[in-house]
Amino acid sequence: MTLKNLWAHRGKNGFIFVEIILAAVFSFFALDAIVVVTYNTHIARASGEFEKEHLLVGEVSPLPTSPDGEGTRSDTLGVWGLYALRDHVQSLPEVQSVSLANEVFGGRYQESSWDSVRTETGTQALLAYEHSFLRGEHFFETLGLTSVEGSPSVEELSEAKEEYGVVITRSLAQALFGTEKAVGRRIVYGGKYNFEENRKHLIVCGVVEDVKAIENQRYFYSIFYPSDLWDNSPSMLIRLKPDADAEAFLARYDMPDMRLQEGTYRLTETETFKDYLKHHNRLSEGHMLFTVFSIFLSILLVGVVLGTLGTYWLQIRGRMEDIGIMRSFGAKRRDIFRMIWQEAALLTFVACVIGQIIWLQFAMNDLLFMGEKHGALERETDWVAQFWPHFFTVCGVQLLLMLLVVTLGITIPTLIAMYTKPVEALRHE
Amino acid sequence: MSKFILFLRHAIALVRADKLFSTIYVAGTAVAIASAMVVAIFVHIVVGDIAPESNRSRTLYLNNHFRKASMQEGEWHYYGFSTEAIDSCFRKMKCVEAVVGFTPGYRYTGNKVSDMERQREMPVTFIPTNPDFFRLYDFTFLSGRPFSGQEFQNGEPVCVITERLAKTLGLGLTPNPSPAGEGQNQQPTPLSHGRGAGGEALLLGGKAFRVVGVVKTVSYMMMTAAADVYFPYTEEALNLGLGRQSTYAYAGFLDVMILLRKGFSQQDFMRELEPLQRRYEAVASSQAGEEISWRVTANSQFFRFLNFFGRNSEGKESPSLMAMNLMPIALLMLLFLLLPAINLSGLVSNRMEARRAEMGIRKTFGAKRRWLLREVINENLVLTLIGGAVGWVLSWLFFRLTLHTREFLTLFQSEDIKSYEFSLDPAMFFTPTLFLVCFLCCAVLNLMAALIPAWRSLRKPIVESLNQKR
Repeated sequence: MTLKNLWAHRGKNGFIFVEIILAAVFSFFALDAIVVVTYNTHIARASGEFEKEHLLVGEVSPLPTSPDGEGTRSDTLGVWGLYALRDHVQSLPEVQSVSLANEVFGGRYQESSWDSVRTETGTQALLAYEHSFLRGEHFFETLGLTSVEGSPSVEELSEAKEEYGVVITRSLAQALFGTEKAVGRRIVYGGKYNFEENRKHLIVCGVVEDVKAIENQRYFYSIFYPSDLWDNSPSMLIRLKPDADAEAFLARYDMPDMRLQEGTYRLTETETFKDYLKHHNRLSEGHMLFTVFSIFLSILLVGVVLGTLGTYWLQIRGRMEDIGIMRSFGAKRRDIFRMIWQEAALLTFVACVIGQIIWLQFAMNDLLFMGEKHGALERETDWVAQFWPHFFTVCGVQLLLMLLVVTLGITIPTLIAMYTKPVEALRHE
Repeated sequence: MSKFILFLRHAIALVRADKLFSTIYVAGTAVAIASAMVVAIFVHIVVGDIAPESNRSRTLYLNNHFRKASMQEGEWHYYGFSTEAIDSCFRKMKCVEAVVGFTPGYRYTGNKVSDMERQREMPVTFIPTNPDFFRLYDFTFLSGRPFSGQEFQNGEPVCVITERLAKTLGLGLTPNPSPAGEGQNQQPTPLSHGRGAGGEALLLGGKAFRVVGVVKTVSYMMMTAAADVYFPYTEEALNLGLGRQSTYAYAGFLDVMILLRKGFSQQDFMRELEPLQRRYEAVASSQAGEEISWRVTANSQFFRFLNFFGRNSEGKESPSLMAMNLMPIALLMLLFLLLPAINLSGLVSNRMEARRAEMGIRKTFGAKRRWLLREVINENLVLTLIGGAVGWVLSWLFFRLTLHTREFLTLFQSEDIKSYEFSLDPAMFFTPTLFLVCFLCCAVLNLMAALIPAWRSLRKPIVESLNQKR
């Protein structure tokens, strides 16, 4: 019946059929990017996601010598004044732990933060995201990372007593050694641009759970390496106790005249970790793609809604007499809706599949969206990195989306047809 | 004329006769035209002549490259320009009207300006530059004047600020007696010693600067001209050292923009530069005792942003290359028109079905097929034009709504800049070129939508058409 009706109105349905095919072809890559970015942002959670509500970030800076800000004071404490300030913050009743840091994890994501890593005997290198931490600064416990079973505790990892020791994430350990029990194993890190002299032979002294550095991306393979203080204006990570109120803490201590200070250093611009990332991170490539493609996709879908609306409205107007006869012979309103929806759904399904088969030719030529390059590489276990699961997932989402859009388009004309009285429908011309 | 009025009446009657069809048709057209116009307007904002960047079509942006013979094959080092390059080379060229040495606003971020009493403070973007900046850019001076050549030579701490900054700092504005020069390039006027913009001062980086002029605030979408403070790069208080020379005499720390004289093109500039390049290379090589090569690349505003295919080996721009680079934009616009066109075709096809009997009668009375086809297309054009006008308004609304979003902002300015002016200039949206583009989009859409269904319908035999009506 549905096929018969579709065939009978093939002339009128032809245009919307072609439109859906083209919309499916043109929207595939955009939808693909949106699906992958959404998955990376909201679904692919790392196992070691840390609690961010009670994590604060502040900037430590030397006090100016004069009111006009010219020059800075120096005293006998020198750089130790930084540690005095840290201890002062640590002593506050709301604070659980404090760590000075050269850089804030995920705060300034740049291309230079990447380098290659491999085992000493292996030939295949992976790309890993590097992050430095200061020895003895309670970095891991303040950030809220957790070590995997068999690895030293996060308190021990923060001490970083091993000279060439690094901490790696669980997924990197598994990718390199096939197991997360990688403590004591050796890796070769660096040499991204084939500069042999930049390669470092390091020992894995701990493994922590995976953690996401950038919101719009999957978690990366990460390496944490101990370093010395770069300058006298580091950042300070402050983890508050679970019962402390971060907003109240900020309100209390971040006023210009209430700013925490000790010796010649003070803590300024303290904010929550989430706000810090928002203010210091540039919009990622994934986010921009998501935005641009969402606009593009919306335009295409609005077109399809209008197309369906117009086509079906005019078509139903011409079929009112038939609908009147059906209603006279006992057809219910829902039968009318089902009949029209089935026609539209079948038309959409066939058109969408044709569009997807056309796009398959492009997809096979590397036109599947893999996410930001570093986040996507070498994740064979992830559906995004596997061709057929990836392709069919996006096909499924597209099909559902198109069905939804077409249903939206036919709703008003169908409702009119459903609620027209059979007598009026029979009189309709 | 009466024929036209008759046609218009007929078209309007048709629009009113089937309000449902007309509404859906106008909505479909509006979405299509709005999408295409967003692309066109964006390109216009990026490359068009819009105040104060009114001379973009005559502006060249230069890049400076050097290589020594001892360097690896194909390796070039990138530099800024020195003041010597500006004065001894570019300024002497016949095709050049003005040479602007400057550093873009995004190079210096995180700066704040306050009034002399430090009561009011504002994060700012600043551009150190030379007086030619105010010849190249068509700023509207609300008060005062640009800094003069003399002030520039002396390295005086003077500055031109925007109205927004002046208001934030509470600086007194003494309006210029008449808006002379508005819409024209400003020429330096004698130093004003009166109060107002001539007598006010501010603190930038803790150093006092005398305000000599206040200009109308520039939208962030004017990528190169937008800033809050403009001051001479020769000024030494901030210790920027921009006038310094680097490794080579013509290498330094400045970006350079060239304003070409009217009638000259990028190719003329490159042609005139060639002998100067050879002469400089000979001098530099003899001084260094090693062969030095100097290469200058010059990009017009168009090729600075729309360069999908690269350029020829000589780095020269040409109209054909420009047309080639416009192709992807045109294709994207066409894509935005194509899908709705198919949709509209379906609607027109439905309508033609309903009018088959009418067409049959008119053909019986001698109407030719091409007349009827023309009439159907013209009638449709009325609807398309209404949709086009709605679409244009929608595209403006799109910019209006997205203007304050971080995503849109980063298309124009660096995210590190903390000071923006969110405003839209009518010149960004309503220009004859954009009107023509919009009309062309409408015409193309109309043809794509109406031609095939109308032709198919009119091809049917008269008898069959007359029998159509049930």
